[in-house]
Amino acid sequence: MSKPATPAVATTAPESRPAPFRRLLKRIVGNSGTLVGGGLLLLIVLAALLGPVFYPQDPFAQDVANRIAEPFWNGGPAIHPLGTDTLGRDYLARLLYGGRISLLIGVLAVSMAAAIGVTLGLVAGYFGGRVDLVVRFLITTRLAMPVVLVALSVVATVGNSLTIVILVLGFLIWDRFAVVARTTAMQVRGIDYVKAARAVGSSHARIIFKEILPNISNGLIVVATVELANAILLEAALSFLGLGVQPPLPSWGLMIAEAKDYLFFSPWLITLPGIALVLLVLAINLLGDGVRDITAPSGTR
Amino acid sequence: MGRFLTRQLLLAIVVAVNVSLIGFAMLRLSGDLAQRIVGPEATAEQVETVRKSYGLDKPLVVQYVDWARDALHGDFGRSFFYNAQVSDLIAERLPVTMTLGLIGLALALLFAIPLGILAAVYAGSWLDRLALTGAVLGQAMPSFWIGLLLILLFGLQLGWLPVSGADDWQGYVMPSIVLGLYAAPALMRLTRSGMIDVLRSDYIRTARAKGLLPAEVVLKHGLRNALIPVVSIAAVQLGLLMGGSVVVESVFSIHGLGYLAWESISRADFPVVQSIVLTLAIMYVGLVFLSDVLNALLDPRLR
Amino acid sequence: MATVLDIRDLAVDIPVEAGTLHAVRGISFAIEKGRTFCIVGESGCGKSMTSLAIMDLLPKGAVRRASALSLNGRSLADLDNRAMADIRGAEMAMIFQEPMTSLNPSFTIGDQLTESLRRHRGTSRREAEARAVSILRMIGITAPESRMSQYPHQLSGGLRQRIMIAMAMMCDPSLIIADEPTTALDVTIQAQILRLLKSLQSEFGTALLLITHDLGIVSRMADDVAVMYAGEIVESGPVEQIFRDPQHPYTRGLIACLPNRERRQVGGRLASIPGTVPSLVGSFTGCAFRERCELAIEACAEPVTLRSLVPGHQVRCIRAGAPIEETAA
Repeated sequence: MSKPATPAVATTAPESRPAPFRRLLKRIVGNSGTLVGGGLLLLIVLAALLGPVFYPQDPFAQDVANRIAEPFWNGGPAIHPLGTDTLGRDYLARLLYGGRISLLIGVLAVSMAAAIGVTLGLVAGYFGGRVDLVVRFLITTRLAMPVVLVALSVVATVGNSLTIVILVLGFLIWDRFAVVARTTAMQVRGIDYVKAARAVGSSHARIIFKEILPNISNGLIVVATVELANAILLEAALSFLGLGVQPPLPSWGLMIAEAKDYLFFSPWLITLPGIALVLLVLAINLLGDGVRDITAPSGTR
Repeated sequence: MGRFLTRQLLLAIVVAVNVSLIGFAMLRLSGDLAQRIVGPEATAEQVETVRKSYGLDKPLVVQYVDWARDALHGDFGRSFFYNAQVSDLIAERLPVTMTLGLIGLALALLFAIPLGILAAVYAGSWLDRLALTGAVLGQAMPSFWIGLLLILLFGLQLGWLPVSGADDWQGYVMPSIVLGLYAAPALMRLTRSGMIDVLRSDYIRTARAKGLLPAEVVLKHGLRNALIPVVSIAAVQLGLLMGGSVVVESVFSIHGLGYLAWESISRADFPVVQSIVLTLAIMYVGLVFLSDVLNALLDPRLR
Repeated sequence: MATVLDIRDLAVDIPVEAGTLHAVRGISFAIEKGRTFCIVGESGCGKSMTSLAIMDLLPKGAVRRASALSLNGRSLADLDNRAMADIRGAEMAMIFQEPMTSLNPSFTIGDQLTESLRRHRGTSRREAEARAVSILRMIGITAPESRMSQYPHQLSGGLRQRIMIAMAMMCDPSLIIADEPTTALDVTIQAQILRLLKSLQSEFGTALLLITHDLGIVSRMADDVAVMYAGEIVESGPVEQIFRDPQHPYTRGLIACLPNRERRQVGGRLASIPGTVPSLVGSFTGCAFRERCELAIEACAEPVTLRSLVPGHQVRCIRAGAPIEETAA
């Protein structure tokens, strides 16, 4: 290293800054994406969880007299504000219930993927060497498998249930967790306090879970939002292709598939569940982007 | 660079073998193949005959080696449903899917790169915000849904484009747009963030200090470096587009690889499914390898 | 002698999260043809912002103001971007601190060397390459022809900085601004680069504005020197005068830290002066150094102007000229 020959100058003192929490709060408020995304997500989650409690219609009951009833803006019956589907089931009730399904599958699949991916990534990043090689190979193998096709084949082979769909998705979207956990673990491994922990004889497991894991949580939250959105879209695609959620359960993807043939005369049957999907995924993505911006060191975006 | 690429190539091969193993295992785990080939009404004797003639009575390892040897020679077995070699079926369908993927990727790049550059140069402006909003919206829209909306608008209401099939170029328009919309947001954001990083770099300041005009600074000194990650991701995106072709092809009833896979899955035609998965996996690792090569070519430090 | 660069009341404001950072707070100086003017100060004192302001290369959002800013008698203050770009690289060129990152990794040395000549003079590629090779040879680079087709990563830091210097010389500018040109280099290379700058300057009569934190470099290179502190010039004058008779307590502190001198301090660091540089965010009046100054009195909180003690030697301190005991030696 080259240091100036004449040490002439002291370093500048850091300027005074507002307290970290206040700065964080200010950043959250200043980040419109986070606010919009978070608010929207909260609304959707509340609607999905509480909607079926307050909204009286049964998502499975068939109102045979009112098949494909128009939504209210087309002058449909007041009892079905968003109309009914091809079997006369209340569309709003099904949309609300479908939200539950989307969130349930998404959250469980992502939790599972996170458990798999983070474990693999941490182990690889922490131990390096052969372990790392094996994990990298697993990641590459996983990436090489076309997700939708593999999911479809597995579901078709093993049979079809919510549990299977969740398991399959969980096994297919862990890669990003692994990549982020691995990279961060590699960086953190070299930091002094981790070295210090090693020096005082902490066990590997203790270091990984007590010292490294908390440090990578920011990055993992961002990945979790990305994968949550991903899982919800995948579930919709699988259900749309007939190999995800099975009737009569309402899933937004399945609802779109069921209404495909009525596209021309009853387009709202397609647009409504689609809009619900877009809003949910949008909310999650906005929130994820916001978290990334907020937790990023200032100045970097 | 040679060593790096050799290692990547080896990794690609190992991965391809691994995927073939997984596919093979999936096929064998799916049930009694002999029974499935002859059909449910066959006698036990017939099943045994088939089991022998297909080599299904041998140990699994032997079966895999036999299968792999045949596969290396381009023989992926016969379809349970079609009276045809799997390899012929794939060879017939692959070009359709590849064309779709390439057009989709081209559309995405054509749209994403200029927009990404503009968004980076005018970072924070209304244009940037519009581009980012568009990207986040685009990423939130499921392809099959956009496909249906396009069909509704351009196929059914306006009647400009065919609602299904890809018999002529018009049939490719909507599916390519859907694929392009799928790939564009990530590419746009990558171009933008890469460009923003590059524009902050010291050599951009050097270029400006030389008196180069803004267009030269951005397009010559900026773009080359900003595009390095974009190019490699684009190759990977093509792999993803082809892997995801099953959705788009089923929406538009296009008889490509994805559609064949979907049909075969519903018909339990597992040799076809297994081979398509393997084909797509090999294409994916091939494209990743290609992206490594492209990276090495674009970045003199890797040469 | 002809004045090459003339700056009066240059100020740079940078919007930051907490308000406005007044990075440069009204500085004035002039450089004559063939002279070397050094600006010395610690990091954050505004010396780099000054150089970027002259080149009109300030970061996005930063605002530059000046009552006069002229190069060879021509005002740069209100030139549009295009006209400014015509001057950059042609009449004034800049050498940056980080040779490792200041060259574009994706283009050859030859390409990057010839760019400015082709841009400003419309020279053909072949002619520009010929000039580049001759400049490389002149600055003592061996096998210049083969260097032309190499990429930056294939060269050492010292070599890259020479390339940067050659790049600055391509259009024979009347002013070269060098911002800490040797800070990132090994000590042995530093000397070579400084010698090279000096010899080029005497050969072509180029004016040199050298930004540094290193008084050793100032004493070797400068004709005139300005000491910057907290965005202001606190003392300026001919280099011998400043070194012989520093008036501002800050300058005295800096010089006291120089090694191999009578007044050498053991472990000589300015950190021995207590206190910190005031925040330049928001408004600020009075002497910026008073918090750290042993001689500070109440009147130091009043605005201080630069005043001449002897012709050519200016200082921004009300206590200057008053009898001062040696600072803790």
